[in-house]
Amino acid sequence: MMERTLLEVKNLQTHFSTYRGTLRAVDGVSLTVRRGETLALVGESGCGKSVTGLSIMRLVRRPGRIIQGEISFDKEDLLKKPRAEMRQIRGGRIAMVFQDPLSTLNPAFTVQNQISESLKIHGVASGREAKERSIQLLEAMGIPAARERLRNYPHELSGGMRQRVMIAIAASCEPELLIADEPTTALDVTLQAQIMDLLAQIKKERGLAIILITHDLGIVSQFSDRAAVMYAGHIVEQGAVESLLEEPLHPYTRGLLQCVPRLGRPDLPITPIEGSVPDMAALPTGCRFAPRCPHVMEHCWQSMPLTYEPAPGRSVRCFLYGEAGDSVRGVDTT
Amino acid sequence: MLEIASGELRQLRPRMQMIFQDPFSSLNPHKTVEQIIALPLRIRGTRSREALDKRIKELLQLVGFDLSQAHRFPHQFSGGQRQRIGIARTLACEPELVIADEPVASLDVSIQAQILEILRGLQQRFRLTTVFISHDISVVSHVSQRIAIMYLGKIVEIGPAQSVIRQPLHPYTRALLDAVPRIERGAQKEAALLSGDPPSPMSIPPGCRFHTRCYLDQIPQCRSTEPQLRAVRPSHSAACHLAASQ
Ligand SMILES: Nc1ncnc2c1ncn2[C@@H]1O[C@H](COP(=O)(O)OP(=O)(O)OP(=O)(O)O)[C@@H](O)[C@H]1O
Ligand code: SF4
Ligand SMILES: [Mg+2]
Repeated sequence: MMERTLLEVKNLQTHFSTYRGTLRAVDGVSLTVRRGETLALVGESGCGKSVTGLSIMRLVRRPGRIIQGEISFDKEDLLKKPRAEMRQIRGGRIAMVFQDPLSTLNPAFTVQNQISESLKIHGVASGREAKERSIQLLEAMGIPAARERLRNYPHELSGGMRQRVMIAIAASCEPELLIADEPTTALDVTLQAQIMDLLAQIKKERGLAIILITHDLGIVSQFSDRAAVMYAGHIVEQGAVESLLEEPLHPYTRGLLQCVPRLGRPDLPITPIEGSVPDMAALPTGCRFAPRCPHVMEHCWQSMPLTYEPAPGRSVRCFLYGEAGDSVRGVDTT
Repeated sequence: MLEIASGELRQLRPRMQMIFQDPFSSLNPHKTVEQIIALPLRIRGTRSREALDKRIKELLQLVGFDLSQAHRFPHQFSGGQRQRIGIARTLACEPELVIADEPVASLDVSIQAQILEILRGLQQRFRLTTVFISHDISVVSHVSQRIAIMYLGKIVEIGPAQSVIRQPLHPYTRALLDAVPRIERGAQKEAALLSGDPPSPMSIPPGCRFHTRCYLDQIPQCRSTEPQLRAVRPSHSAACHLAASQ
């Protein structure tokens, strides 16, 4: 059961047309999420994590557009679904939680209104039943005095409480997949710990699969089963969390791990990655990490590495793990 | 969180400089990098073109730039680069004390690491006294010799960095440390989880301001008397009625 594939994204490309040209925000992303597992999507600012999440929900707005790819959810391609059906799936079988709850919750409606609305749209419950369901949900999210909270407007709640309400709404229709986009970035660490524990508990109780978007490798380590590392619109490495963090293969993953100061380990030096993330509208030809890579080779500048599988369940997009000749086929698809 | 790294003062004149979280808003958008750095040098009396150029070059090199970038404007740089320009300008003032307010909070980890290494290098080289303000205790522990932990506007613990991290005295410090998600999978401790939100600074609880979230077996004084900072170990103090008995 645990191993069954729930979501399979293949060669997803989402681009934005800007006055500076085409911005390849998500550029050939492939990933899988199994039922009941948490996949962490990790990477630095602007690498395409949120756009990947929004693409799966089909919430990309202009000037962005999904150019190609396949998003198969429970064996059906979401990109081929009519809009009405997609509206039912969104918030129903797939839910999303965002970094900033205040910009997602409607300021003009009470907590009760917003949960009931979601329950009604997806035909789960209405009227009095919806109210009882809402109370149960808020209680399950660890919100004290749930009945009173229902009458509150979003601005009357604290940051941690708002995020719990967001998660309550997301969980209200018993989704199979939750996309959590930096759900704790706006919170302090003690609140972050509470919210992450809550997500872990919901996942366990309801067998929920989660795509956890984060830039924090500590969160990746503690709260996910597998991880995908993104760099400049590509997934550069994917695998089980222990092996990925203990034996990172891609030079970028290794670099990231060496950047992070470890608590209580003043003996471990931090080593910055030289340079900075490339301009997404003017990407280098060849490997996108080449300008910063300590292992860069001649052909890294000319051609784009393919995704290789050095071990089962482990993939890495880097010439150190595959033949340079292989990339000739890869160039036109990515 | 507040961190204090003390070093010997190089200059005798008391001077203080700030490094801000958002380097962009503190850099004049109409001035080139060269002009931005030249201004404090001029004010401090460097006048000749030759001396100015030499000093600007030195300062830019200290933060990892070369002179070829000196004629560009702030908007032409990335966030991390702007933070480095801010640091170069700060150094141009030859301050005795630098207050760095969340200098890496808005930066990516790879850029954060660059800035932290620059700040650490400067601290060692010029024995610069720095107050490093940050909400990230891992970052703080990396750049500092002493750490002060604040809760609702008051310092609740202060001491040598490694002592605070390894043997925290205040229950709030311990909860903070436990809440940091560790990369090493085995390293995560069973967290002393704090329940609830921090109270509003407008209505600070009576007695110990932490008592509404404290998980220790409280004594009546916790609710009635505000605990004062007390040395429990040499130069390591905490404001907690139960600190000594732990
Ligand atoms: N509406 C838009 N118009 C133009 N470009 C966009 C738009 N939304 C995102 N982008 C660009 O797409 C790229 C990927 O953005 P995305 O939001 O996915 O990054 P991210 O990995 O989530 O970063 P962060 O960690 O900062 O949230 C970025 O270069 C961004 O500037
Ligand atoms: S393909 Fe080449 S440049 Fe890219 S990460 Fe691998 S070694 Fe470095
Ligand atoms: Mg994002």
